[in-house]
Amino acid sequence: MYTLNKQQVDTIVADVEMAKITFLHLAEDLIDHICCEVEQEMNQGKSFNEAYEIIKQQTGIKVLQKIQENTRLLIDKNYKLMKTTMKISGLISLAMLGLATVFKIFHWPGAGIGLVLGFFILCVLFFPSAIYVNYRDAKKKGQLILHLSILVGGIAFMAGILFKVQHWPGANILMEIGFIVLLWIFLPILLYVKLKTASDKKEKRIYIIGVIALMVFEISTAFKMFHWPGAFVLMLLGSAMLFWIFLPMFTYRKFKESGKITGQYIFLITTSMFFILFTFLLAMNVSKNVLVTFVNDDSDKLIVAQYYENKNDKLVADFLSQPDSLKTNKESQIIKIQQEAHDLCNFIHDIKIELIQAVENVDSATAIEYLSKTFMINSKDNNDFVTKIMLGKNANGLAISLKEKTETFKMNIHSNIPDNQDINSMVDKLLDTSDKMHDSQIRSWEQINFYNTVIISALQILSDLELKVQLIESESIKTVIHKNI
Amino acid sequence: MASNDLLKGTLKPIILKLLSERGRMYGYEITQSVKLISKGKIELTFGALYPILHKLEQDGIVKTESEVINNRNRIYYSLTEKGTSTAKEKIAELEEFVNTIRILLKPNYGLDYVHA
Repeated sequence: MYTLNKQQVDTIVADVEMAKITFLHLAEDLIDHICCEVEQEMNQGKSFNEAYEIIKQQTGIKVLQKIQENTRLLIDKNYKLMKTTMKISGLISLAMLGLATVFKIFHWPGAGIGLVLGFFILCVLFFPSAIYVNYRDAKKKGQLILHLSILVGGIAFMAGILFKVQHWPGANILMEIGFIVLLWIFLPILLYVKLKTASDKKEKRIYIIGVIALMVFEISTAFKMFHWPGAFVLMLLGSAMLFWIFLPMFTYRKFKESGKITGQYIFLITTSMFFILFTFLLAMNVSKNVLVTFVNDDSDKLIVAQYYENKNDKLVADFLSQPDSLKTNKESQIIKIQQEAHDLCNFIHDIKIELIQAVENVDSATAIEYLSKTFMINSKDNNDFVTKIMLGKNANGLAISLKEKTETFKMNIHSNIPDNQDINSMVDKLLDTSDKMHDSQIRSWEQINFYNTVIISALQILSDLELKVQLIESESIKTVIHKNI
Repeated sequence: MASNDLLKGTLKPIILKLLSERGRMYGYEITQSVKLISKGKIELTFGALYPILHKLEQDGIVKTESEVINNRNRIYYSLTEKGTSTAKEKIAELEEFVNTIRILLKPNYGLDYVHA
């Protein structure tokens, strides 16, 4: 009867350890069983290598892992449920997020719902179940904090991104919590655990590079979010380390070890994909600073517009209070100009209200309040509704009526003051609504101004127009008053 | 050799039967015993054996002890007190089942029944 020596047993132990059998004493069971089988073969005259080669055929890593999986499934009903949840919810959320991202890029309606649902499934179903399964697979003391920290940090981070993309309040706090937990709790523990289990110096180096790359990437995302300088360089550095150094090294090593792609590797790739997707979504979002500039600019315009409106009204009122002998026959002309300017401005005002109401889903009173406080608009970068309302489906949007009304206003000024070249050329320049070359193709005025324009910018374009109309009104009335008869 | 479909529900009672007769066994020993007694007609693979053993342990039917043998740990399985009575039940259940199947498979049983 042959018995294996210590060295031979160690060979088998090392192979079984590679299958990462962590379930209670299952690894010991399997090692003893394989040893017995090998001894059995050796009793028939084979060498250790020959015998082990034969047995290996039936006891590969996959087989051993399958046994662990079956054992766990048989004992732990939770595990089975979680595993199914993980598979199904992972597939659904990935499909939804992918589709929603495509919708978002092409500005098709429904992207928001898809994103919210996809994220919800990801946060509430996939992520917790995946962490649970992973935790049970690697059941070791001290790993509870590791798994808890990625659960809390990951959910906070993902929810934060969702909130950010949807412009819901509280996004920054969620993301900050996520960052702190991931960066200062999860990653250090991960590095500690990996270094402890690493078999040699080379493996240790790979893990250090991987964790540092992740940290750099995380920090770069934080930089980008808070608009600190240097985000781009850090992101480039982090992704270069992650995808060009760590991943190839890791893949090479894993492949060399087991000779095949393991489930862990696929998990890693999928996680990386999610990471890229999130970053992509974040980058697509218009930077908050840019939107704030729009807000400030628009409130400045409103002040100027108010000034002109008061000035114009006073101008007309002063003129009308004069004795009839001085008014001659200019009265009707001035009132006509004022009336037309007011009509056009009111029309623009109504368009603004309609846009805000559609985007924010509020009543008209709230929309009027938002008009003077554009910083209160949540979806500052919404462009779906702007395009829909301004351009319409069959060129019947409000921008077309606006263009017509502007043209009419222009014509009326021309006919009211036919002999003043200065005013007329200014009017033509300010209210130019002709087609123009844009992005190397001829586009109409309404397309250039309102196609896929974010609402905060559309509101400003409209305020601009309003201001120009008031300026023209002011100059025209002055010209008429001072005209010598 | 018996097919896996037929074996599915019978493995647990077979393992319990062996443990109740031999007292203390390790995994490889169980597979070999089954092979020997059944003259190679039933092969209990280690892929099927260990999940069942662990399930039995979880349910408190068997207990384990570890011993270092030939440079490695060997896990011995034996019935617990509760397991001894469970084993009796399961074995009796299987016996009854086998008898029933035997009756069902008796030649011309259907005809006998009609004539009776």
